[in-house]
Amino acid sequence: MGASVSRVDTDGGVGGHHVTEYVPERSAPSAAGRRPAQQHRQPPGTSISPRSWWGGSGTLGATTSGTATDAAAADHHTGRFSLAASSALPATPAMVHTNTIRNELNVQKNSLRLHRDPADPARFILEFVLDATTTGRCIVYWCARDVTNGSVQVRRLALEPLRNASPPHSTPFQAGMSQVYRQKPERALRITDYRREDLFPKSFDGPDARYPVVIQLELDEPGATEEEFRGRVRSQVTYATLVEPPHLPPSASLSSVEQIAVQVVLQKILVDGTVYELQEIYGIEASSTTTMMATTMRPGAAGDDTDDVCIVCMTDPRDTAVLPCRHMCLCAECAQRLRFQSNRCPICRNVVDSLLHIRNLHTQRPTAA
Amino acid sequence: MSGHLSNRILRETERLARDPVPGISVTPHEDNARYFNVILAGPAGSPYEGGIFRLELFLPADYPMQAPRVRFLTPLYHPNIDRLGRVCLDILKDRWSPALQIRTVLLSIQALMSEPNPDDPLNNEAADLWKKDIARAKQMAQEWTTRYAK
Repeated sequence: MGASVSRVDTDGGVGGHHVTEYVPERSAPSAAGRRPAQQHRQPPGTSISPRSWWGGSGTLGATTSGTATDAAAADHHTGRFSLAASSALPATPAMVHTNTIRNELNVQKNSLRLHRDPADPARFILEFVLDATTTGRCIVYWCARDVTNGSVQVRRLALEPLRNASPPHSTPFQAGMSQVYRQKPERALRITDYRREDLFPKSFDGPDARYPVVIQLELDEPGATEEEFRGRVRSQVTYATLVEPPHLPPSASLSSVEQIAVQVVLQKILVDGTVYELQEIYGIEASSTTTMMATTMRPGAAGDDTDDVCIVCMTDPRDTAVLPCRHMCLCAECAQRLRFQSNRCPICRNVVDSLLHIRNLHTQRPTAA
Repeated sequence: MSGHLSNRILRETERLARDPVPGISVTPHEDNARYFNVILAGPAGSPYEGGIFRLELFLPADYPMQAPRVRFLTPLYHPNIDRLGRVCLDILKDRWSPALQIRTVLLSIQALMSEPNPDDPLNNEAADLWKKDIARAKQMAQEWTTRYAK
């Protein structure tokens, strides 16, 4: 199976991190095979891990019928994201159109914290902020790996923790934006149960990579039928690692630190049986926020001298991202023109594989801050 | 030609007038919005310091998909600029990107005046001298500046 994974290793680019693009774990060998070799090069100025661009571990869940989706983009704050239909890749970059669907679950990437339990210095309590527009449940795993069976239609991502010292526990949540989720102390990470190298892994290569913290959010609507989950983000899984406290000697106990930093490594979503990896689009924030201000506060003056307009015409709002480098720098019209004139991204000069047009980027606005 | 691209030229021209770059003057030609008269101040600390250099800049029909054409009208002694005033600069050729603008092109040319690249010469004589006897080469450039760049 030609499953592949692409990923963002660090928090790249633009300020916030709630605006993202998903690239599916590819199960269609024909689509993957058409990708030019340049995909494997690291484009300058981005944080894409070169080994992982369409390379992938191949163990993660993906459907065999997933050829209809090629790429997707999301804006968690606005609760919508887009799935793009794939098409044959001609010599000129394909224009990929997107379908917008609602994204109802999100862990805010920069909100994860592990605090030492004042009552027990060997316990660290996880805290993070989540957005949900409906009811669901949250499961936290320690040192878990993804064991999703990729050969079938995926119902949920299967995660396997390292050991059963702290068995996973499902906690319900209600709808609400920016909810603070704080673990009960008895669910906390008991550091004495794990080896130092389990908590601070050096790499995440290979199918058996374990992530110290995995947060699984799932829709949970009592009485809902399968049909009612169609086209919705059924689940979002956030894979995070811990940052070894600096200046802490290897022999010193972790219980001497008050807080351990948590860094998100990747996020995945599950839509209609297909697993997608969440990636950022560089420049989408400037595009959606400044254009909103420009159009609401000074009508007609959009695109004067800010980052929100197309880099080519300097006139229309940016709504099209270049793939695989994910630079959101074009309007749809100039993107069409670029297809026939150049195969390089204007920002990084990386070879353009396809263009991702995000509809409704400038028409729907977030209702929550 | 698309209205979109002429919009870009208008916006660039407006911005250059509203927010000029120190040491660079860009004036569109009265009869042709794609043709610009450019005046560059020789960069401080270079043999061109104190000189006033005139250039012409033309935006081809498919600009910004194609790079602007730029030519020095004032003679200068420089390894990457030939006797016809043509400039050897990667961003004007294969490294052009529509993200670049008139402003960034002229800033790059000013930077090239400060930092000649004799390993990629357009004026072989100047490049050879630059490599063999840089003091003498800079003196030549200075003499040309005094003589022509007024």
